[in-house]
Amino acid sequence: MEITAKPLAELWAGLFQMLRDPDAPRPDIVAVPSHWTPQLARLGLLMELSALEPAFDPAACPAPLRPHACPEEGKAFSLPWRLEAPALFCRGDILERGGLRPEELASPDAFRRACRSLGKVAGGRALLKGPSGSLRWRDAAPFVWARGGDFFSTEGRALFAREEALRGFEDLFELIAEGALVLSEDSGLPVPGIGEGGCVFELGPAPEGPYADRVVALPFPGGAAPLLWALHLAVPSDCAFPAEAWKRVRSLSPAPPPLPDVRTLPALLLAGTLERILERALERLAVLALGGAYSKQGLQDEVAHAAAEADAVSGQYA
Amino acid sequence: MPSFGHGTLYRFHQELGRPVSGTQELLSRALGLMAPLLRAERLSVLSCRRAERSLRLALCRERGRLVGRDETLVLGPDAPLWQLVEGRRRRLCFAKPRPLLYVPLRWEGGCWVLRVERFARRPLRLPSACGGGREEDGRARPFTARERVLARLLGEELARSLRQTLKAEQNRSLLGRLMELTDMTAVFAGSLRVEHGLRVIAQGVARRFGLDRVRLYLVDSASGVLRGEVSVDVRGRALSLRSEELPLDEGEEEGGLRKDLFEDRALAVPLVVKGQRIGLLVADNLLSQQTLPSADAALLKTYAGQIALAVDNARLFEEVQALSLYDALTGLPVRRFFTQRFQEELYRSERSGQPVSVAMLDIDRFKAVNDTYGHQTGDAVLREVGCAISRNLRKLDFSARYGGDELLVLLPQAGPEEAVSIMSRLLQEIRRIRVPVEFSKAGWVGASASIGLASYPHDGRTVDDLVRKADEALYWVKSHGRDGLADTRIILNNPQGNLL
Repeated sequence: MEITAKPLAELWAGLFQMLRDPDAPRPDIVAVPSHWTPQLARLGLLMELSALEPAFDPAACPAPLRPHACPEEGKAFSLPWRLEAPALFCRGDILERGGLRPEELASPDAFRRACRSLGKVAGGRALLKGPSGSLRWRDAAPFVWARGGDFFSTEGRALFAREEALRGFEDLFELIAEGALVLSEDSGLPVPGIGEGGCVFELGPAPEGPYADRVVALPFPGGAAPLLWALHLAVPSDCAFPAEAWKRVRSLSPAPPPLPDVRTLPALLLAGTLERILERALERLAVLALGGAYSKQGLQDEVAHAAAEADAVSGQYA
Repeated sequence: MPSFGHGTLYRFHQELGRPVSGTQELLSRALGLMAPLLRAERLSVLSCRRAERSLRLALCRERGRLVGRDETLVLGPDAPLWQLVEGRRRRLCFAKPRPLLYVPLRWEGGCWVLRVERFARRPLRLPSACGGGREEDGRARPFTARERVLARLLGEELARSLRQTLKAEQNRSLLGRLMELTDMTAVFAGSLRVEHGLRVIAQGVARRFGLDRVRLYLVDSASGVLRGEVSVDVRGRALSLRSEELPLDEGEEEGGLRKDLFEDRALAVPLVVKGQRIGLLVADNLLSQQTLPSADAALLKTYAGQIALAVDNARLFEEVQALSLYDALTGLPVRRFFTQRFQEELYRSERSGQPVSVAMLDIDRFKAVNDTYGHQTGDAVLREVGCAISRNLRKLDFSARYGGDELLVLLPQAGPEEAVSIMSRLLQEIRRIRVPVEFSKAGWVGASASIGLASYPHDGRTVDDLVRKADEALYWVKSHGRDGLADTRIILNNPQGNLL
């Protein structure tokens, strides 16, 4: 068995290469972000799993991820493999030193204020650990949802240029511009995790490390449900050994865990395409924020541009 | 300056000088050679995107293995790493959280970055049989001055090879594209049908340039629009685009594309022949959102001239063919075209067992019309009869000018009875023709026709047999008073006269 791990951008390009060139080498199983499934299925890249095993019940997929796995009623094209539902963690001792209590961080504004006031007692640590790698949709989602905003309607129309979403983006990029949210250290390495004492707040899995016992979990500001992000396994439609591939997918797909109240990225027919448009805007804004050139007007322009492009592309492929 | 073993740099130079398939192989080889020299656990090469002020992981080698990882470093203008890229620092070295060294891979017009890392080894408790205790103190040794200089020199050597390889890769890709395009030109230059040619062009361009979608439009001069012809999707499937129209005038939205929005992910290339616009090629990567490389865009623009010529050739060929297949006066197909079509229809009837009939039609006293009212009036009568035929036949029927005032009509899926019914209706229509003639008493001249019919399989099984039988029936009608129709049954059952 040969396993190839690819960064998401490379995986996306590889999937399109498979579409364009029927002779291109292709794997027997692919692992893709769950919300790409509807688009890849529509492009005819994925095999319908119930066609491989008629007795298979798509309802076996956890309910929050079912719209991703089953873009058509009763037809599943992928199964969950790796699930992540990051929570917001905080160093309780530093919070106390700053004279704050966890319940005082319940709103996005209170969280922003806390980030400013804790700067003095953080001991040179980053306040909020940024994502390793580039800024992605999933990184921006908690900020936008916390302000009651959203990204796309169920038909794929861009909603992220609306006021609530803009306020969420403002929170995110102002934290970067103020140096509170650190994308990478001067060394180019990611900020060490909260459990290792590298930051005050972290959005991620349960922390490990020498400082893990000082960490407390916080509710998401604005009461937003945490994001459930998943990698799904699927069988490419022209797989040479579909039965064997399906058997392997079944064995690798875990039994659905009990999932708390979570939110997923929307299941859209152009999710992968729209994600790339949005993430390009996020990257440009990150450059502006890091370069001290960030402004609200610049944010509005960039987001409005991305929303117009997303709508135009949706219109072309409606 | 610290010194190195004599052969270190020379061996590295020699190894990098060996042929490689591309950048990945070069980097993989270089990192493999550097790892023991620099005693590094992990070596990474980051490509630089100046416009986005970011570094992106190109290749990472960790403990002998190549590792794929999503890593993009978006940097502030004063970030130490960006200072390194811009040449404001010669190298960048960190001791915490682990020994880390950045070396620029700089060449004229470009800069990538090499990252060298050492990990803190995890404390390992040895078994008591080995004396117990800890093997490592948990800290990795920082880079010495000698190692930093060596890393810089190795980086300079790698940068030279990297530049050559990138250039060679670029040239190879360009040459490959040009050769493929030359082959493609030969294929569609040989395609004489516009529809087929356009499909070949669109599919070829989509495949060779790795595009999500290619659309072709041709100028419709009559309606002043660009009319959609063919669209090829990401899987290379060709679809008709006939229902789509675009305005001819250029603007911000040429080809239905918002240039301001789609930037380098879409391209509209006008197809121009001798300074005249004949169409538009629209290519995009909107679905994958991949950038159309500027070299490809330039190549496609250059290549558009070849495409335009091929399309124009195919169009001209179809026009010439149409001229040779259709009669200029009546607008009906000529006899040669009719015979070809009749033969195809007979093959189809043989397979399906369905009947097919043929009618031969002669305009009554046409010579007298020409002699009395002049050839212009004769031509007008002929044109009117042609129009009546075109108007009154079924969609599947096919008519042709056989020669002089004789016309042929092919009636697929029509047996003798149905053929008689169809042609009777046509006969009625011909009788209603009135061609204005100023100097005649009535002010117009009318028309009538004699029609002979033959049907497959009753009257014959070949084109010649059936046309001959229809001709015999026609002469029977002409000899029995004209202005009527007959088939072989009538002739056999009613040899004395009485038209149908």
